[in-house]
Formats: sequence, C-alpha cells, structure tokens
Amino acid sequence: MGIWDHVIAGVLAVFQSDPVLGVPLTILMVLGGFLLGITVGATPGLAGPMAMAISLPILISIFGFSNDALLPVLGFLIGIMKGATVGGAVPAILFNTPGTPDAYMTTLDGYPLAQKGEARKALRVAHFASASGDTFSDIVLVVCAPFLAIMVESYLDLPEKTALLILSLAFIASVIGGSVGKGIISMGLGLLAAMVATGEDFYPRLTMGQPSLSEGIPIAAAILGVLILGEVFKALEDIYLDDRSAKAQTGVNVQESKVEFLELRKLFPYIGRSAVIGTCIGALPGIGSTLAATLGYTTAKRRYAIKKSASDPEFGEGAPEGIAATEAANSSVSGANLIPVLSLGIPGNAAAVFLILAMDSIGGFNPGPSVFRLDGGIGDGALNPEMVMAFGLFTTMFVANGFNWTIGGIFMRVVGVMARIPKARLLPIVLLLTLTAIYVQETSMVAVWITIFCGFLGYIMRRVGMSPLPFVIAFILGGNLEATARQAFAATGADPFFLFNSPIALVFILLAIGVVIYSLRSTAR
Amino acid sequence: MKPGHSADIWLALFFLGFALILIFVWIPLDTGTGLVEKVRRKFVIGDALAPTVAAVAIALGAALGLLRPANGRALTRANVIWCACLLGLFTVSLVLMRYAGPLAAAWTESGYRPLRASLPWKYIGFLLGGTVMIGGLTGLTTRRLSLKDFAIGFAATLLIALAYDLPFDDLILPPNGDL
Amino acid sequence: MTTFLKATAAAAILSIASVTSALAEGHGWKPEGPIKMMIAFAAGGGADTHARLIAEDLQAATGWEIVPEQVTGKGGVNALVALKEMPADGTAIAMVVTESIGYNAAAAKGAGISPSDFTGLTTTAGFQMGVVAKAEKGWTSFEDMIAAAKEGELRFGTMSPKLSDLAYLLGEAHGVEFNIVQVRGGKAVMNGVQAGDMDLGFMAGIQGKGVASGDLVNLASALSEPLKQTPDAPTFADLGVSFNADGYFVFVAPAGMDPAAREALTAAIVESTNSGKANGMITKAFGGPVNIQGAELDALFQSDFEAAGALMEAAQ
Repeated sequence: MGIWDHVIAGVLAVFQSDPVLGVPLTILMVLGGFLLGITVGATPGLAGPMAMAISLPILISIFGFSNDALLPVLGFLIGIMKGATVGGAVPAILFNTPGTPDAYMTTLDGYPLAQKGEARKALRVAHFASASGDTFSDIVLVVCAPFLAIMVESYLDLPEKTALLILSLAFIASVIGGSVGKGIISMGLGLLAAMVATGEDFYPRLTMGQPSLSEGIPIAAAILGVLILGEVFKALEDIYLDDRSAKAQTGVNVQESKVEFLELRKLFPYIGRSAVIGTCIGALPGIGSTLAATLGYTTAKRRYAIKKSASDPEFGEGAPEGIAATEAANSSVSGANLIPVLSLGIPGNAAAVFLILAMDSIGGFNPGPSVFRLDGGIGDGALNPEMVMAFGLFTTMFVANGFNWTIGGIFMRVVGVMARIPKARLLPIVLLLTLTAIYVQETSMVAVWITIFCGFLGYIMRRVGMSPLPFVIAFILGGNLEATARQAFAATGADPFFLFNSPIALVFILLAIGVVIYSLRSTAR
Repeated sequence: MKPGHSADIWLALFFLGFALILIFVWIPLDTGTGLVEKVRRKFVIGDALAPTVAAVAIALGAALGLLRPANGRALTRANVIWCACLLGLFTVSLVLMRYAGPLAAAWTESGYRPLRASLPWKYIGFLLGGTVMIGGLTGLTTRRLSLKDFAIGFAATLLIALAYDLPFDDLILPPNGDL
Repeated sequence: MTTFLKATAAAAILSIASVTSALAEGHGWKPEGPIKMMIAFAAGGGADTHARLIAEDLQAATGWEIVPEQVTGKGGVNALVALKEMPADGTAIAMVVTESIGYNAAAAKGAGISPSDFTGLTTTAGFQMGVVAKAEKGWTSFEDMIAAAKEGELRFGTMSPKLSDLAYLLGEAHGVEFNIVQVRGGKAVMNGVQAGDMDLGFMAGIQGKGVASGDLVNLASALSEPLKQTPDAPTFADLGVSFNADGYFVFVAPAGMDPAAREALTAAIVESTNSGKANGMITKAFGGPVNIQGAELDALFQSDFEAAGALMEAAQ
C-alpha cells in the first residue's frame, strides 16, 4: 500500500466521519474548537493550552477511548490551538492587553493603529497575516514530518533512539527561559516526578510507602497542575498585589475602514519572512511562539527602516507591517511544532503537550517514528491505521485553516467583549473546572490534591524565574527515556557504553553536551 | 558576588542539597532494585538508575546555577503568605466537598454510600465545596468577601456539576468516586 | 456547542431506553449502586477495548450501572491491591489476567496479595501466545531461529517478567542466550519486531492477521497445547521447557463475596462474552471466549500462584 492510499484514507476519515446535522462530526468539532479558541485567545488570562486542558477530559467522556474518538477530539484541540493564536491579537489591538503572551508585540502597532480609528484595519491585517503564517507552517509540517519519521525509523536503533531523547531534553532545558541552570533543574524535577511508582520492579519506587502514590503521579494532574494551576495562582496574586489591573480596560470602538488588496500586498514580504522564521522556530522543540514573534518583529523593523517611505508611520506608531510581522511569526509556530510531535513523539510547547496527552489518554495512536511506517498495517493490502490517523490529523489542520480564512476574521470582531470579564472572577471558575476535570478522569480526591501541589510547584517555579515547560516535557518523556534505555541496554547484551558505540548515538550525545555549553556561554554574555 | 545574585545562589544550593539527599538517602532506601541488577545471568538496568540520573541532572543544573548566577527573584514573604492562604482555602473547600455529603447522610438509615448516585445527595459536597472555593478565591484576590462572589460561585459550580452529570452517566463528580 | 447538546440528548434517551428494557429481564441479585470496573490495561489497547465492550453489554443486558476505570501498572498488581480494599458487595470488580494473581502476586511480595484475597468470577478469553518473528528473517521453523541464535545474539521481546523467565528457559534448553528485551504490552513487542528493534518475541494473539498474511511466523506455541492458527508449531513442552504461558483475561472481586452476588455477576459476564459486540471482538482477537469459573477458577489461581516460585527458581 502506497503513501497516497494513506493520504486519501486520512482525508476520507475526516470528511466521512458520522454526520451530525448533515456535517461530518470531525469537521464540526474542528469548527467548535476553532471558535472556542478565538474566544479564549481573546480573553486575557486564558490561553489556548488552558482551554485544551479543560476540554480534554470532557471530550474523552463524550467520545470514549475508541479509535473513532481520536480525530474528533484532536480536531477540536487543534481548532482551539489555531483559534487562540488568532484570538490573542484581538484584545492586543482593541485594549492594548495581549490576550495571549505571544501577542505582546501586536500591541505595539495594533493599539496605536486602533487609536487612530483604524481598529478594523488592524484586525484585518492581524487576521490575514496569522492565517497566512499558519497555512504556510502546516504545509511545511505535512511535507517534512513523514520524511523525518521514516529516516528516524530506518536509521535509528534502540541506542540511537535513547541518545536522541537525551539530545531533545538537553536542548529544551537549555533554550527555554533565561537560565540554563534553572532549565536543567526544571527538567530534572520533571524526570524525577515521572519516576515515582513506575519502574520494572514490583516495589513502587520513590513513594515512601504511600499507597495513594502507588499508581504514580497521574499525568493529567502533573501537567494541568504545573501549567494551569501554577499560572492561575500567579495571575490571582498579581491582581491581589496590584488591584488596579482588576479593573476593566477601556477600549476603542471598531469602526468601518476598508483594507484594499494593494495594501495587503505591501505586507507580503513581511509576512513571508516572519512565516519562515516562525516555522523554523516551531520545528525546534521548546522555543515557542513568543520568541518567534519577537524575532519576526525585530527582523521586520530592520527591513522597514530601510524600505519605508517618509509618510509611513514608524514601527510602534501604528505600522500595519509590525502587526503583520508579529502575527505571521507567532501563528506559523503552531503547525511546525507538530513536526517533532508526530515524527519523534517529542512535544515542543504547551499546546503540543496537550495534543500528546490526548493521544496518550485515548490510546491507539502513539506519536513517533512508527506512525509513518508503510508496512505498519498488518497483512497485505492493510493500511497502517496510525498513518491514516496522521493524515487525518493533517486534514483537520487544513479544515481549521479553511475556517480561519473564511469566518475567522468576522468572528474576531465579535469577541472583543471578552476582554471586559474581570480575571478575579474568571480564574477561580477555571480553577474549579480544572480540578473537576481531573477528578472525573481519576475519580480520586488524592489526584485533586496532587494537582494542587503541582500547582504550587508551578507557581513557585514561575516566581523564581524557572520555566515550568522543561518540567512538563521531561515528565512526558521520562517514562519513554527510561524504557528505551533499558531496552537498548538489554538488546546490546548489557553493554554499558551503548550510548557511545554507534557513531550516530555518539553525535547526538556530543550535540547534547554542546547545546548546553553553547547556551551557557550565550546567556553569560 | 554581585547584588541580586544571592537569590539564585540560594536556589542552587537548595537544589544541590535536594539532589544529594536524593542520591544518597531517598533513592537507595525507596527503590526495589539497585542501579543495575543481575537477572537471568545478564545485567539489566535497575529501578534506581533513572531516578539517580534525574537527581544528577538536578545537581548539574544547580552547579551551573552556582557558577553563573543570574539576577533571579527569590520568594518574598508576601508570596509565602499568599501560598498559605491558598492552601488554607483549598483545605477548607476540599474537606467540605469530601465530607459534607456523608455528614448530611449520617442521619439516614443507610449512610451515604448507597445514596451517592441519587439526588440531592450526590451534589451536596460538590456544590458546597465549589461555592466556597470560587467565592473565597475571588474574595481573597480582591481583598473583599462579598455575597455576590459566593452567589456567582454557586451558580458556576452548579453549571459545572450539571454540565458533567446530566449528559454522561458514567462520569462521577467529586467526591463520589472515593466512597 | 449545539452538537454537544444534541449528542447529549441522544445519549440520555438511549440510556433510559436500555435501562427500562433491562429491568424487565430481572435477576435475583442486584448491586447497591453503580459497579466500579477496574481495568488493569492501558486505555485503547485490545485488552481495554474488550473490557469496555463487556461493560457496555453488561449494562445493556442487566441495567446495572457499570463505571469502567483504568487502574494500570505492575502487571495488574496495582488493580488487585486497590480491589482488595474495596467492599465485597459486588460494587467493585476488576479485569486482570490470570498471571496477575499467579506469578505477579507471588513476585510482588511487598504488595501482600494472594489468591485468597479475591473471589474469581470468570475468565473471558485465553491467550494464543506464540513465539513470533518477521517472515523476512527467513526462518520457517523454530530450529532455523535457534541456528541463527548460535551465529549471533538475538533480541527476544517479552512483555512481563514471567515471559522473560520463559524466554530465558527456552534459550537455556537449546544452548543459546537471548538478549531479552522486556517492554510494556504486546503492542510494543509487535512494534519492536516490525521495526527490527527485536528479532523475535512473544505475542498473545495480536500476531493473528500478520501470520495469516504471511508477514509474521509463529515459530512455537508458548502454551501447553498447539496454537489454533499454527497447529504444527511445537509447544514449549515439545521444546524441553516444563513451564508454559497459559493465561486468560479474568474478572475478579474482593474475597468474602456473597455467593448469590458471585453467581449473578459471573452469569452476567459469561453471557456478555458469548453475545453482542464483546463476543465479536473476543472471537476476532482471541479466538473465542473461554469461561472458566467457580471452583475450577479458584484451583487455577492457586496452582498458578504456587507454580510461580518454581519458575522463578528455574530461571535464576
């Protein structure tokens, strides 16, 4: 069975899913997720990953654990991921408050432009740039992920796979956040948490004899605790310490003003550069959309200073080019960051973490090199179900892009009102919703308490300037790393130097050491 | 040592100590097998190896932190007090959530367990605990307890309860899975 | 959001319909409240799917509310430890494998569980455990594989300590040493063999389609009897190994259960493995239902538990 059979089967899996009201279920789910994503992105204090985290248990309860559940659930989550990136620009432009962290740079030119009475134009530019960047990134994903996966599968044996995981963790720990040392501590803590009660022996290790821990730390509890609760605790304290920010922002009105196609055409070079920057950054695990936005904006600023005519506004005074450069860069991260997810099983940012969590909870789809094996189907003429699923996933991304191009812009103008909801009221509700979601999945108050303690851990990490993302990614990869290392050791007949005996593994290990040293030097300067 | 570095130094020292305790005390005492084990006449990786690697990573991170401290922030007194307040609030609301239902059912013949899937019993703990959590947290954040916040809390908790409970019969609201 | 509501309403109507139809049927014993069904296998795998299908069929047929829940890890020991503490009134049951109560309970000394802590209900299906390799290795018989193992070390994939012991004994009986690679779950062995990370491995039924199409080969049966699909492959007894990997999926409840409850639950589970969606899946994946119950099941648990020590000793 060739690759095209899988592509077609994947597309059909989306378009021929059970129709509800005459529309295929998966497509409806993508739409639902996309609209929710824009709304959440437009609400300061909420972000895409938060909505993904809370939706996941609800979605699993609706669709269950069968293979049929994967595409509707993942489609919804991908919809949220994409919607939130677009939505983040709305309050940035209308209220000078970024809805998501990566939209901060959008405020620089978006708000001044809105103050000039051209809010609609600013939104239109943001939407156009965002949708373009996103689509570009998805195309790169579809082209690259299968080839990367096939290469990994055919060239890497167990020792090399172990070394690759070590390299990814070293890279993530070094590049996220400002401090290499803290990044590595965060990663070490994540690995340690993943080791609780796992392992081969029947004694549940590191549980100090506590039976409540004998099943280990539930993956949802650790991730939601550190990422969601930690953020809620911090955001609420910020309000507590400075109650001015609790008051609603004053905004500008969205007035009519037309954007000509010629005006958009002027933005193409900026959008193009930013899309390439964002895609490259997205493909590397751990760097994230905020840096992409910053890089996109500064690169554009340099070019703009040379190219602009005297009458054009400066960057920072309402230049549409500034909005376009930022939004194209931060949106083009989302597709590309699925490259390491699908080909290696390594999540690169918080959104990818929740996609992996969804795949892991539902089962039947193990992201990693085996996904794209042509002989993965059992028997002649059988398709590899995981590869079909992967192409189904790609299809949902393009469906989401379709919604983005057609109705995204209109919906953006509607959700501006979300910025008026006070965080002090909203976040406690988000908190209870998260805890309930955990309980529904784990059915134990112990899991709720573990989540709360992980929340405090996430809060403290944020307060001392330690990024929680290496913790979460190491927690997800920890079990995999240990299992692969055990297998590699056993498979090589207990060779203690299994990580150094093959040239590829050795290169990966040297790169891992190199990236730590390089980051250390560059942050010291 | 430049001023502003001390927070990072203390942080690094804390984690260095933690890693050493892990490697020399906790891991040896609390794992079933050693770093490597001889099983079926071959060596295999034991359960202590991976946690030790994690601890070494923490120690390495801490050592790098000592060598190149950045201008990190320390936890302030206010941060600690905030955490304590949150912990207190969660304790109160989760205890209410867990025990309010069984307490209310203590006077019935059967006790709570057979009633845990029926109205109104199954909602008692969740509604009470959830209302206190949301209302209390909003009050704490805005430094002002108000009836309105608790009313919003109650409404939100009821909505969450109904959203989970009505459509799905195999989902269980807290605390009914523990009983 | 409207789709949610529609789906929800439909689900609600369906569940009401199924409850009313079932009440008419009637059983002597009725559980007090919902039944918690612990599943000792990862979500989404074959074992999990089969447990969930049984739960659905059971609920539809009896009207009892069944709440499936994953309690995974340590080869079923975690689920058994949790189950032991639950009330023995029929509101808590678990699906494990006979190996969990036999070998794994004996090996996990610290967990403090033994067959006497549980009431066996019924097995649902047996494993078709074979020693499997990829056809492109060129081995057509067990001897071919042993010959290759004498040339260079082979990697043997297993999914539990008991199977690792068996792989070791199999090698010992033929004068070769395998590099035994123990992974989590049969699917992982399958992936490892397919990807070339392992040369051969134990598969408990998952190999069916691959063997049928000629991609995989059953080199031997790890059971006391020949495999249904490849009856000519030698059994472990033929190959000089006095232990075997006979095993079943099994439902258990805590010890000290009311006989009426045991009987009613057993009958209901047996019925659901022999009809409906669960039966279809069991027949496809595990070659049909096997229902060992009552005293026979108790004896099976006890003998497996006692045999574990001998196997562990032999594999030292």
